[in-house]
Amino acid sequence: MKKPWVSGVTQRQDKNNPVHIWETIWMLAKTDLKMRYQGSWLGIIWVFLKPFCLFLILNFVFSHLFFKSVPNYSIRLLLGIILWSFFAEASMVGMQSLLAKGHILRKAFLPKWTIVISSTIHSAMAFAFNLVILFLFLFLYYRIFPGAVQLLLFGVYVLLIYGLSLLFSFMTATIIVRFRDLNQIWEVLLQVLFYASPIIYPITSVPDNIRSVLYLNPMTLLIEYSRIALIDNSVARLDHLFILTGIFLPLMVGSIWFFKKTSVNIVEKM
Amino acid sequence: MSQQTAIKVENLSKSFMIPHKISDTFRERLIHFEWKKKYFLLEALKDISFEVRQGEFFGIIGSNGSGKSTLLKILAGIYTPDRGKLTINGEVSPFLELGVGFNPELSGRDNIFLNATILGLSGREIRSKFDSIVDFSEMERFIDQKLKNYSSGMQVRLAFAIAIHANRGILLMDEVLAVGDASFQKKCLEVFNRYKNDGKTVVLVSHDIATVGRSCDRVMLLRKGEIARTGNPEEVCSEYLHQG
Repeated sequence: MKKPWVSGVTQRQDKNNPVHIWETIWMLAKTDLKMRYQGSWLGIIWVFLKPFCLFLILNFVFSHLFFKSVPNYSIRLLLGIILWSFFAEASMVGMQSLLAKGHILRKAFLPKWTIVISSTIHSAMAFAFNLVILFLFLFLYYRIFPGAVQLLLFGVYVLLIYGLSLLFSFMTATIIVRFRDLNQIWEVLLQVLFYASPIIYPITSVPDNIRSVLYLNPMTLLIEYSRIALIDNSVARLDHLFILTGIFLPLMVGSIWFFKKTSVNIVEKM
Repeated sequence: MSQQTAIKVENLSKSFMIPHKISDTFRERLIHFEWKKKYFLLEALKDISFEVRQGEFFGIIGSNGSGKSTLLKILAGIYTPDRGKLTINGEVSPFLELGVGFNPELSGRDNIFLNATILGLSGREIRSKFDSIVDFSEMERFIDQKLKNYSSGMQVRLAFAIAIHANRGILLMDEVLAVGDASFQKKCLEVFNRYKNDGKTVVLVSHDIATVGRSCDRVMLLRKGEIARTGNPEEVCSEYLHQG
């Protein structure tokens, strides 16, 4: 038998208060934050510790490979890791957000997009903390002081990275409810993408024909250009940024549309 | 009682696709091979229409699987109707479960803020009602303890205290409110009566015929997703008891 086409109309006066929506997002994010460091000795310090441990390992293994050919290799690696962790974590928790909050969604009405956004807030805050440390290194140890234009461009890159993880989350948060293998698949793909992005190696060490393939990964461009802005203190090609934004925006709109359409009946399927 | 409509439901239908358990033999499965899984359609609600007036206590009764909870979830905005129209004039507070979102690892204080936010209160409202919530739950000494250290009775008391402070114009209550010991039941009834005096609209879904008969102005009996009868509590309740 075929399911009749959904055409129910609901008119309600409540649930449209933007202030309350933001309060809800913040409350859910705060709960996630408290839960994450619940009962751990080092607590919030893990936010720094995790990417820095990864950095120390990778730096130890790879720095002698690239140390001579790449100036400031360590800080380049650190910036790459921080940006990558932001994307990887935000996309992972965003994808699983609706599933994780199923117990609430089944018993109370919340706009579903607020759940997706609130789950990524922790990643954004962790990123901000890590960025502070990176800037301390940059200013105090490397004595590099990026200009206003560079900082502004870096801000745009970061927004695009956050946007990409939200785009991915909106696309997958409803699919994973029906197809639970998705987080395992994404975990593996993230590993692949980690090595397909110029995080541990400089993009210049890649042969030209492969390089253009790597640039199909938007993180390649965003990580590489962030380094140009912050560490080389110069301005990367703006036309690439415009092209990337031009592709990103319609896809973002599309993912929000897809999410709206598929999340209507998602609670029934959880 | 004003005659203004609080909730208007017109020709509402809701069905669920339930996957079939395939119990055919392997040979049959090979012969009747299908790419798509077979589903059967469970019609939880069929063409339901009713109105709830402002300030009314409206009871919904019915046996298990009659569609009561599905209807309440649609009214709360959790489920989306397949067909039909639902109009709600006013703000809804759904109490399908006490303590939605309660987190055992957080303190009572944090849980009050979390649960009340989910129930639709603003941060300012919660802060202003916080002391009153704690007072009502009689939990002053334990409010900064983790919820997992509360007894289940204490948890219910805290959840109930939040719920009655989070009420809006229209309240949707599931039978979960009927759990608890005798003194808790009494507290529930007291609150019900207060709501009645305040002129709030309450939709109450329950198995407990006694409560429904006593507190409701009008009762609707659901049978297999259809309205069997709507009318005054005594008549509808007795029909429910005699339907077998």
